[in-house]
Amino acid sequence: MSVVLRVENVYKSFGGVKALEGVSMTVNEGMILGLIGPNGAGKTTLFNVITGYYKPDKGRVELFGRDVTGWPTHKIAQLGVARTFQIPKPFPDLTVFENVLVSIKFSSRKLSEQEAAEEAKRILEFLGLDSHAHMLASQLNVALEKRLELARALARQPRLLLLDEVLAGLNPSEVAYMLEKIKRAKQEFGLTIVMIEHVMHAVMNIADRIVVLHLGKKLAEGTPEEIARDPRVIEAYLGDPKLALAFVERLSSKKR
Amino acid sequence: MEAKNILRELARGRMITNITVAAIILALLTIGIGSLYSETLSYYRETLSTFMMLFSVVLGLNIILGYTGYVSFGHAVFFGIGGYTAMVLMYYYGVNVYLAMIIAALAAMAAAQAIGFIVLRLRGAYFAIATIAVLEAFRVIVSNVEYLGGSEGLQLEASYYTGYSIAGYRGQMSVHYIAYFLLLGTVTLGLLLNLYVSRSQFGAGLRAIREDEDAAEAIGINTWKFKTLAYVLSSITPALAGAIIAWKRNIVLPEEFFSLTLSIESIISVMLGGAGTVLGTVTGTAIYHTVKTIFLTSFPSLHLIIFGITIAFIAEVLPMGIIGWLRLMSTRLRFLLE
Amino acid sequence: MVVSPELIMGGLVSGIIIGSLYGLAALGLSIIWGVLKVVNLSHGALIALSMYLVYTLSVMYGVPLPVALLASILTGFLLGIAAYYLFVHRVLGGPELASLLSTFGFGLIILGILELAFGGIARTIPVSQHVIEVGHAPIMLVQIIGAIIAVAVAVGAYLLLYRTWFGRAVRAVVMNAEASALMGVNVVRVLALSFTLGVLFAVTAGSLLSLAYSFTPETGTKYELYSFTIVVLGGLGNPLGSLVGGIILGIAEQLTSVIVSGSWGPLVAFLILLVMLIVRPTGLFAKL
Ligand SMILES: Nc1ncnc2c1ncn2[C@@H]1O[C@H](COP(=O)(O)OP(=O)(O)OP(=O)(O)O)[C@@H](O)[C@H]1O
Ligand SMILES: [Mg+2]
Repeated sequence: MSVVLRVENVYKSFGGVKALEGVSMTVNEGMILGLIGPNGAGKTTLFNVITGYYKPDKGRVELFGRDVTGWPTHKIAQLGVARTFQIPKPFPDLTVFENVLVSIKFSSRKLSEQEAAEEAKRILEFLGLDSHAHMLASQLNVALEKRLELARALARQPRLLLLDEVLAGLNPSEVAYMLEKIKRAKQEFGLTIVMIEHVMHAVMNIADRIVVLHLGKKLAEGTPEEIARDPRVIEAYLGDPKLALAFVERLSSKKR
Repeated sequence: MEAKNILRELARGRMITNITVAAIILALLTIGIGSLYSETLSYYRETLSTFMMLFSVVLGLNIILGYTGYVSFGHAVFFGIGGYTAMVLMYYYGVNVYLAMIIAALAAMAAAQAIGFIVLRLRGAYFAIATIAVLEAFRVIVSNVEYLGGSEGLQLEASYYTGYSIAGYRGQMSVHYIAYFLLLGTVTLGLLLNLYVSRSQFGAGLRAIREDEDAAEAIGINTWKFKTLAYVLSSITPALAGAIIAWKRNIVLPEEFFSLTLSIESIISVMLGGAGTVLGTVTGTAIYHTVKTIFLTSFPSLHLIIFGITIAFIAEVLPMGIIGWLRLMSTRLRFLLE
Repeated sequence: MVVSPELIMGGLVSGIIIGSLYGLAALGLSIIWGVLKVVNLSHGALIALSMYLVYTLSVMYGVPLPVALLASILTGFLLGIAAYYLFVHRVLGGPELASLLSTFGFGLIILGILELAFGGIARTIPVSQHVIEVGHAPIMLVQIIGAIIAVAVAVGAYLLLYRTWFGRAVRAVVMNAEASALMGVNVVRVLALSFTLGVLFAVTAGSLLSLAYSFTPETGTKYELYSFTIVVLGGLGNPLGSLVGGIILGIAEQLTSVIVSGSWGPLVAFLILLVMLIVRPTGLFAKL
């Protein structure tokens, strides 16, 4: 199994805030890695470092075996990395269809106009967005906005998909729907996925491995079972294991 | 709607736009040729020349403001750079207007590259203000440099024009006619550039930048390269128009060439029609120019007030412009109106 | 050209004096920008308007100067309230371009009226020519009084924003308008008052500047760009930052005038602006 993403000893601070302090992790091809941790743990910052929005103060990022530290975001994207944003960033005055189409156009695939339009159509159908295809993205509700984020990322046919809280703010049936779609997309496209998530039962259910960040440091790493039993995690993050589920559920329902 | 149908509607929309654009160019050409042989058309020749001058700036501005979303508030800076470059070449070196135009456009593109390097890292209002500052800075510099004529400007001698002729008109008599056709050529180039941007992958990238620059980067768009190129392209037709007008009026003046008013007029025109649409540039400029001409002749002293009311009205009531508003009315119109 | 130390000294002193007026004008722009997130492109026109108000009252109608100044400032206040509801309220929260355009439109209307009423000839307000020597530099008493007023108003603004209930409400709205509304802050009133306050500072600065230099309707544009520069120098919504930024710009401008020539003065402002925008768009004194 080849290594898709390797993060080595990454540091990043903003003024006095140390967002990342020596984080390392490895993501193998074909797996789903769950990235969890309390608010402000540095999860989004880690995504931003991986995708080149921020240059790490120290440390290395390797993608598909290449050192990409300090590369600009678009070059990293062109390697086959797609991401969603925690606060969705649709192209508001383009239609849902146009949002996906432009993403397809800038993926590495060479498609004719006709093929690109059909592909866009297919992805919208896959995520149940086809009936909203010609609405402006700015008119979507949160749940549909999250789907559009996912659609636009999938449209790139990435090798590595970074999902930043795509389940936040969704009701239980929407969460189930998204999870189902993520699983299917992984199978169909052979994706490797890193997902940041607060919806704990979801991430426990879907992830092969879990990394816990806490105050910018990696606190623990292991299978979902190991993490759920790890006393340090329980102490730092989950508190009383019996209350854990209720707690994280409450966290996940807060909307940012 | 099926993918096939969408493409069909899009193709139909492009056909409509092509026909409209071709019809406008042909009509302007006909009037131009007509004016060579009929004195009665000379009024139209002049007012259409003024229209095409503004339109040239608008077509440039639409690329950076309309498609890319960067509010260039001082876009007349390229008109000024074009005008002054051409004038220096004509005044000091006796270069003919055609070569002067080409060099003026190249100079403006180089300037856009350099200015863009500074201002394109700014977003939103900061970018807008920086472009005003660039325009004002150019005006101050030009009015203080003796080589460029200072605040008096540079003026061509009548003898400079002896070599020009068209359809029997010679020297200075020919200038208004030739300038008309040169402006028409510039407008044609500007329309072609806008059509290219509207339909190309490049233009799709610009729209993505306009909508959300971070997300555009994330889908693999080299936003810096794209917006710089857009800014450079947006300087071409304003510079050509500046060169032509410098030649036509035989004088360049700092206030008239590095003009905030011209910048604002082009913004109004773009917004009135609908930023980032080809048909909008024509519609907006035509309406604005017509209204302005009417008001300027009937109430010359009220024009600033009328400008102001128009701008505020557009901003508060119709920020997406006429074509932009129509495009929102139905999916079909969105595909049909380019 | 020989530049004597006296000339430099004179440039410094008049830079500080005139710069504090620039700073006050910039404060007007800064508050509106900081609180409403609107770049008020009618700023320059409002400054010009206040100059002509002082001119009309004191020169054309012989009203005593202090009264004319007060009347001009009061008019600016009323105009600010009206302008908020006519030109600003509807574009808040919309695209940036909409607020740029609507305030610019308002500015053009003012300019048009000024052009109509006064034409483009430069006007001057005759004031007492009494001169005081400040470190070998002769400075007109009127300008010194103007500078003192400007500093006092800026300090007052600081106290208002950081020591009063109104200031707390303003800062709450800046941080989170929705939450402030839930907590009982009348958000619209805070926004309208902040805008009016911004206009008030602009017209106060304009009224005082009218005593220092001759002016035309176009003059406002220059002060508007100066204000941008200062806001970028001093950071958004920071009264003391504006004052310091204004003084820096004033000194730079006056020294350039002394060393090179008066007409190059404005260029320095634009260069400072561009350099600042590149190097540190959050300003020298911005709070993080
Ligand atoms: N651009 C920035 N400038 C300053 N501070 C930042 C910036 N980005 C992140 N931070 C800080 O870095 C820390 C980590 O933030 P980050 O967004 O990575 O957390 P997170 O784990 O994603 O949290 P959440 O679950 O709330 O999304 C926080 O203290 C945050 O305030
Ligand atoms: Mg986060």
